[in-house]
Amino acid sequence: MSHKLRQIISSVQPEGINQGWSRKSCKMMKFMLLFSRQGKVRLQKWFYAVGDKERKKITRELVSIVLLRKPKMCNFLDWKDFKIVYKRYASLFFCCAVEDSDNELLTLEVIHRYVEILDKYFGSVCELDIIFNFEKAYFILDEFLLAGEIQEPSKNRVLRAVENADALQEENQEAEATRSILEEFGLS
Amino acid sequence: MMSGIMNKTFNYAVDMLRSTYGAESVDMKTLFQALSTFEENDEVILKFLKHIKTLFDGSSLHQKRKFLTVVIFCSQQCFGSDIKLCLGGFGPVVITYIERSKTIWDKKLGYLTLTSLIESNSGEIIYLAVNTTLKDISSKHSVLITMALDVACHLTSVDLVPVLLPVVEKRLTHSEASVRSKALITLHSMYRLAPEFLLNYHNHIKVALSDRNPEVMAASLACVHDVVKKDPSSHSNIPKKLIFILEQVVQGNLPIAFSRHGISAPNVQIQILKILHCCEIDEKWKASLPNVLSEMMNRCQNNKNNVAFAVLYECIHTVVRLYKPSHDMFKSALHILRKFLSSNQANHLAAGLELLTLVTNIDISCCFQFQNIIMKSMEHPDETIKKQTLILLQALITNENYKVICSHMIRQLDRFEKPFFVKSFSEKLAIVAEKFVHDQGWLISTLHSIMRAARENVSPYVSNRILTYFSKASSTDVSAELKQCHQLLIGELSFHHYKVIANIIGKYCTLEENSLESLIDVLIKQAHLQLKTTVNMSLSSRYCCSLISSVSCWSLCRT
Repeated sequence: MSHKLRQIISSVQPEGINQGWSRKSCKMMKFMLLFSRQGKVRLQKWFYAVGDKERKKITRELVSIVLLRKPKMCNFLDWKDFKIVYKRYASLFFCCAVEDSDNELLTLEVIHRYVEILDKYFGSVCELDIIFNFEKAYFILDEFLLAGEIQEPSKNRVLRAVENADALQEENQEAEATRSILEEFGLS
Repeated sequence: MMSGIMNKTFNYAVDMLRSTYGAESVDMKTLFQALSTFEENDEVILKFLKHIKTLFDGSSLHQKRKFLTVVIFCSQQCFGSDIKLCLGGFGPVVITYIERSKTIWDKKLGYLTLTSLIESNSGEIIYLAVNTTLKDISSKHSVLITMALDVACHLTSVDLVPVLLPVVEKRLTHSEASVRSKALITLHSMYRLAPEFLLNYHNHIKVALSDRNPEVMAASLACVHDVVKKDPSSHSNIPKKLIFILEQVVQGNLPIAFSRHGISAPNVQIQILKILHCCEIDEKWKASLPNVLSEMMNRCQNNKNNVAFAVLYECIHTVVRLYKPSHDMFKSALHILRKFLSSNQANHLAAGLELLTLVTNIDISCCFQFQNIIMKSMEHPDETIKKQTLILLQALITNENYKVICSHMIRQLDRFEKPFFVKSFSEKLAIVAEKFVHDQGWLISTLHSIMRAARENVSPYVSNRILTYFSKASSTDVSAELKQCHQLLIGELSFHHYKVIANIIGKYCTLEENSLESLIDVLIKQAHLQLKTTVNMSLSSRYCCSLISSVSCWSLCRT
């Protein structure tokens, strides 16, 4: 099979096994994107099944639309059949897509809550923290946004869940580093 | 073939993955810098991933963690199908890693890698991951259970619902609230996929709604919403329960940890109001609502935080739907609406205009007190606000003011550039104008004005309607219309507009020779221009056909 033919066949996206997460399901949030002022996507979380090509297309279009918005403009805009709620924090844009019937002011509040938790966890969070610790940013996101719905955890539970795992990781790292040094010197 | 620099970077990245020492953050920083050099080069990324796969089994735990982070990074980037296939091959490796991990952190990382792979790949990995996930959901450690339930939400597909369901249902009675709430959310995602498997779903929701812990109660609200939306009539006792919960929340009976900027559990309050929108209206529960709503509005009125406005927005929505304009609640709602519309924040103004449109659809007279604000918003620099104002103007159209408002809306449409919005709005405008079909002459000239304002992004609906009305018009109207076409052709028009005019002239030319000749001249000039510039040959050829038919009709008329 030629390379071009393979490309054409692969571009016809097969229906994902997660068929139920269709666009028509009434989840609160459809997806969340974090991108820099240069348009580089730092984090993306999709709450409905969508193929890679469409994801790339949606991301590219949205990034270009949001980056063109001026600072004092409203944080909401309509795009295709979604409502987009975005907010800029320093060099990062936090962008969410919600249903037409959803409360945009509440979505803005959800974004703000996520940023507050990131700030508390990383201590004065900046874009670099998200770039080099994106897995922690995902863990935190999972604690309060699951399957597109907002969970209502108590303020500190989110941080406790991630910090507990962190403490265990640090203990293990130290133990492992010590062990590997000892191994090198033949002292294990 | 890799260039010299690419080669060097590639080898450096591979060496870094093999290294044991060094602070993780420094390594990852340089590693990601290296990866971003590869970004546009699929072959290099593929080679890099294959390298990682071969190194994985023999590496230390520290190295494995780095590899997994790289895999998560790559699966988020939406590369081509070859790389996707290669990433899919990591499934068994990651599952083995999860099963063998001894710490919570490693399990968490493993599960995150798995969910990223599932999101980007969604193939057999789902079926491979089921057993591991089931084992962890059945574990004794609550942190493990919550982690596994997170994954179960991503894993859920129609085939796997019967497998996951019994295990998840058991967790609904766990002692920890976080486990119960996550189990409920997982159950909800299964319900959305395959409701026929969930026989006891309504009972589970009822129990969760009455749960002592607010977290579980909050998680159950999304489930209640879906269930009530599907069948409002069979859940007539739900509104009473919800209003009771709302009262407790608004009065601040929840622990302080659930309050945000002075508002107690705002998400719960908003969700409950949304569910009440879907319920069947009953006078009993409707009568108990005004007190709660007034309390909500009083507590939020003086709070300047965004979350207070979010709650007020939902309150106004509820009041406008449930109560008549003569009711006191409606008047209080209008009073609060003024707060939105006179806020200096664009977000509040946009939300206020949306609410005002809702109010206007119910009682148009409520809008008059906000006339100044509407006039100001029409000139607002923000496109979202201008768009919202246009939608509001649509709602304000009556038999008396339709001409003024439509002309104003067309003038506003001219200023928009976004193709998607212009197309949809031009169609909406045309539909609104068609309500006044008794005034044929005005209707056709309005449709022409819409075509002119929308330019290249006009909806095809508008051009079709012009031709339809033209075909039904009387002979005097036709001659008046042809004169109008003559006027229009003096200015610059879009290609679609020239096409419509060519069609009209082709079918209905009854003008004198001279004026028709000048019309045809303009159209022929356009044809030349289009043939030179337009890529879409079918469009240009259709244009030329209509032009030819108009010329032939004219020559027939001459003879």
